[in-house]
Amino acid sequence: MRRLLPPLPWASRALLASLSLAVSARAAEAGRPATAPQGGRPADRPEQEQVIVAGTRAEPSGLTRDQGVAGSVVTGERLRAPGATAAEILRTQPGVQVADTGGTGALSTASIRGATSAQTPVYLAGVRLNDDVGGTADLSLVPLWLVERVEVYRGHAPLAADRLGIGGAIFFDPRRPRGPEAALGGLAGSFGTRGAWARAGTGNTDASVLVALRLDRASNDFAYRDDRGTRFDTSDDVTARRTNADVSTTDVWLLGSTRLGDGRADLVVEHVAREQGVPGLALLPTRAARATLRRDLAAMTATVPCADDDRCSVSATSSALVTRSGYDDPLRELSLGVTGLVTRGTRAEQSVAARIDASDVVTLSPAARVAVERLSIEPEGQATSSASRVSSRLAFASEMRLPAHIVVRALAAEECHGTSRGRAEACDDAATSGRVGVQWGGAPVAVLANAGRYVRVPTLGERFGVSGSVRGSEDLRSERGLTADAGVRGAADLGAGASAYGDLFVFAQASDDLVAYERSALGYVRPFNVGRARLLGLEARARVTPAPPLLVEVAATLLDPRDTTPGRAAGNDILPFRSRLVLAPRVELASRSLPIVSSARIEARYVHESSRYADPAGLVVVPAQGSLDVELEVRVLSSHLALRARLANLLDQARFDVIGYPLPGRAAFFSAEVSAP
Amino acid sequence: MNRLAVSLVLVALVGLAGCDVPDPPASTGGVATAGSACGHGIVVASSDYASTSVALVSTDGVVLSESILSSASASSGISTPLSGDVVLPLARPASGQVVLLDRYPNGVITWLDPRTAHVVAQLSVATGFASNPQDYVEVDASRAYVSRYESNPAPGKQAFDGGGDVVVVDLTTHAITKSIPLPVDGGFLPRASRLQRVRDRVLVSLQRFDAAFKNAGDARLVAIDVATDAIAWQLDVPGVAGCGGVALSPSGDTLAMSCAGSFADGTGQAARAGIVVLDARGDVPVVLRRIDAGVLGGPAGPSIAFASDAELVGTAYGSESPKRPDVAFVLDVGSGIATRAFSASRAFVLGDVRCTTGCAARCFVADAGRSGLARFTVTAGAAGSVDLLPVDVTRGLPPRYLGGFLRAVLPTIPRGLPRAASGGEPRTQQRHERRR
Repeated sequence: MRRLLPPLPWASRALLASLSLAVSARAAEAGRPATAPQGGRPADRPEQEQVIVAGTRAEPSGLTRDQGVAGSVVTGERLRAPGATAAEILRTQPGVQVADTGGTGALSTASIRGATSAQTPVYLAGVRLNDDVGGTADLSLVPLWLVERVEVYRGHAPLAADRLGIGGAIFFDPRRPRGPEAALGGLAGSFGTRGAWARAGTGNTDASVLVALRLDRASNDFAYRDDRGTRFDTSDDVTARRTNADVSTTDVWLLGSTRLGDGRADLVVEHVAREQGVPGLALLPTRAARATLRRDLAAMTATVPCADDDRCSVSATSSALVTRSGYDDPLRELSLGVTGLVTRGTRAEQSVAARIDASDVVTLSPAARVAVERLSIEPEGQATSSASRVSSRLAFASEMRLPAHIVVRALAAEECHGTSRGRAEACDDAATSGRVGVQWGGAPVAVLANAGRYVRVPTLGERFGVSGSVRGSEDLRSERGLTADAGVRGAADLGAGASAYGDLFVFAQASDDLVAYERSALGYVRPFNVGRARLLGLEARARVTPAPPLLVEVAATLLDPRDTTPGRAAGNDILPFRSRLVLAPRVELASRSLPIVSSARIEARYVHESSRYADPAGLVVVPAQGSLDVELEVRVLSSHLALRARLANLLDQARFDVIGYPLPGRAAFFSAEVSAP
Repeated sequence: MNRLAVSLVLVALVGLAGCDVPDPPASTGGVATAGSACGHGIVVASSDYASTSVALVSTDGVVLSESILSSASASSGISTPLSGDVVLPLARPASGQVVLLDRYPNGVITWLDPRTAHVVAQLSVATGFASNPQDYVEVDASRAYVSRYESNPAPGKQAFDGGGDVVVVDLTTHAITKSIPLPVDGGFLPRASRLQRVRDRVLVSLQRFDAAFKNAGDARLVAIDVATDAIAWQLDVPGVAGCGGVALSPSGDTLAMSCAGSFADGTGQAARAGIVVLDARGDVPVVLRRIDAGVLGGPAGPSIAFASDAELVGTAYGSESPKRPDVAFVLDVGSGIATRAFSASRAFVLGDVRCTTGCAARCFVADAGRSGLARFTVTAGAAGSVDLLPVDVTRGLPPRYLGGFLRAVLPTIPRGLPRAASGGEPRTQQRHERRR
């Protein structure tokens, strides 16, 4: 359990550990498991995070937003590996499949349990990143360097998610300011990867602020095998390098936290700007197509108690997300129909949630949210088209702690969306979603079962189109999904510092009215409701620490994704782009008792993905592939200097998730960071 | 202990492999080339725009090989063996080989031996940009022309990378030997489409859209002298635009062009759409008649075929708003009267048209909406009863493009690729008919 602790100064760790013990004790007095109430926000409760990591009697999943569902957590040094991306981190998690299209800065998306990436909301600092063009979140724009914690909820999203995605939800939580600190770091690696960052913080436990800046660039000129489109004739194959794939990114953060009486307020502001080439298909590399991406994100959450004791609290969150994507395509290599295209998206959101311990056995969590979002598309030389949506949601979650360590949870939400081309209108699309679940036990072993119904409202892009070649359908219906799962997870103290953790879940999911794109004979694509899918699967994760410095972990996902669309013509019914097996073993060796160095850690992990189809008919096969990565971290000078190295795809295996978009081969990345205190 | 470890590793490997997706359906093999009453057959490219399967069908409607080649016939890398955008030449290749034009993104010509289902050769005509090859015609035993729709906005990086041209391919080396640039004027790119052999000329139909597909020039025919590979003449046809389909009557006296107009014109599209009939007896064709889109039931589709000297079969585009399905029509060339053959299930689902003149006198229309070939005979200017011939039952891909192939004994194939790369065992027509 120790290695789940983030790399905090010793004093901070001791403080947080004592806090966690206190909370554990109070939970025990109340006769309930030390679980986080639904509807709470991770930023509200550092103490609860420490409950999870401090001892084997704590609820073992590590999830902070909702421990009643399947999920996993990634923290600590794994997020600091040089050159690591959010896509690579998520690829190792049970239930998650990633579609990556290249090196640093290339579009990559994630999906959970075979759902689409549009059905999988991804949150950064509590703000959903999924755009309203295609509904997906670009993982390459997740700034992993300042993320402290990744939580993956499989199949069922917590109340904190503004969308109860059919696939679940993924949360990237940035680190919180912790008082005086400063750090300076640099990165160098293969394919022209360079980076530099700095952060500085001040304050104390009452109020603190952290500012951080990072600059990154990469040429992404990795080699790949160019078959020239003649797969039957290998004599003309050549080794080529990716061109026009360079990327430069600037990421600025402002994080603040202050005590509000017995409550707390947290502020997150982020600005990310990226300029990059759009390399296109490797078969037809572009020469001049460029993109500029910009995102401004701000969120402020205030949590205050609403009673003298801690039996009631209210939190209010205001957030805004402004995005701009610009494409400059002078040679018309991107088939946009124009030589320039700008899309702008804005979303402003206000939510209020409460947690009320109505009694020793019942906790109630009502929540309300309203959001206004707008998407505009500005083709060069043509009229701007725009669309707006007003969304509101009333949600209610409850948790009932019954005798015999049984916990029953229920969550219901009513969403209302008003969508139009011009000014947003009143509700014209209502959707009900929710779930019920039961848990038996807690720590060290819990048995869980949940069933839910979820909805995905079509994006503004799907409704109204994006360009002349990607048109919209105004009469699209919302995607609906029914999902049920059951599983067990538990932890064990094996003595002499050895410990073990494991979980295993089986699930079934049925989706209806899936939005699919159909190309017409004229070359454009248009979405329509046609799809129906059924997915069955099994997820397992086992982590063993046989002897304290050594940790062995294996995550496995088995998936049976089937297209059950009525009248389906294709002979194949296995859904494309989904591996039926993902296996991710990991071995980590860490020690703090070495001469000279303060601590050292080495990790090797492999991800195996079985073959998958790349087309609905099942004729195009993306072969089984894998990647072996090795990471090394050494801290010296009383941990003030951290030296890290990462060897990615060590076996130099040819990999691709999407036909036409090769992934980098063997690569090496190195970083150094000086920090104080 | 070692034996146990090896056993565990083997079990693990088997387990990993067992989770791979099943192998796609294999090729159904080649076909016998002798014994056909008609001497030729129909090539059908079925596609959902993501992958493609190519079938061979006899002129009397028997599926000879359901999938002689497909996107599953070799492994995938940065490209697929066949993309989802494979079309077939207008003219039946005299070499007897089945020729596939993989337009986007591959930009590849594939020569296939219909007897063995083996790929004989492949040639990338992309030359550094998305050239989008449209048609192929063998002008003699050693040369073929390939029309390339796209023009390269930044040429000069490699040989033959200008685009907007017809490239000459050496059939012995399967290499590009020459580019014949097509005329550009008025801001309109050539947009070379179909190739039609008329005596010692190859006529190229130009769609002449601008770079943004917002404006279209008048339709244009360009004639290339096959002896010199030089442009002999060009003919503009005022009043019509977006002319992709070309057909020559069985006697060679009449030429027809199908014109869809410009979709960017919206409701005005039909004004420049229709069928143009030309007298092809002279060196330069002469416009005889134009049949408006309203007569046809909509803007003319991209493919037309003569059922006889007097009857032309084609399709007309429907629309999505208001909902109107595609239609197939029979046009009396002399009177200009069009008769509806059948209506499709919806818009933009009818593909190529092919008629077996001088043989069984049947016409076939690729109907992706009903996932089969609509088959009918034409008599007295009208279509007989229409029945549907399913082609790709196993994979379920809808047919979109039609071509022709010779079923005569072929000469020795001069060059071949490794047998493992494609295809399957030869299959007789009789065996395949029994199976079906």
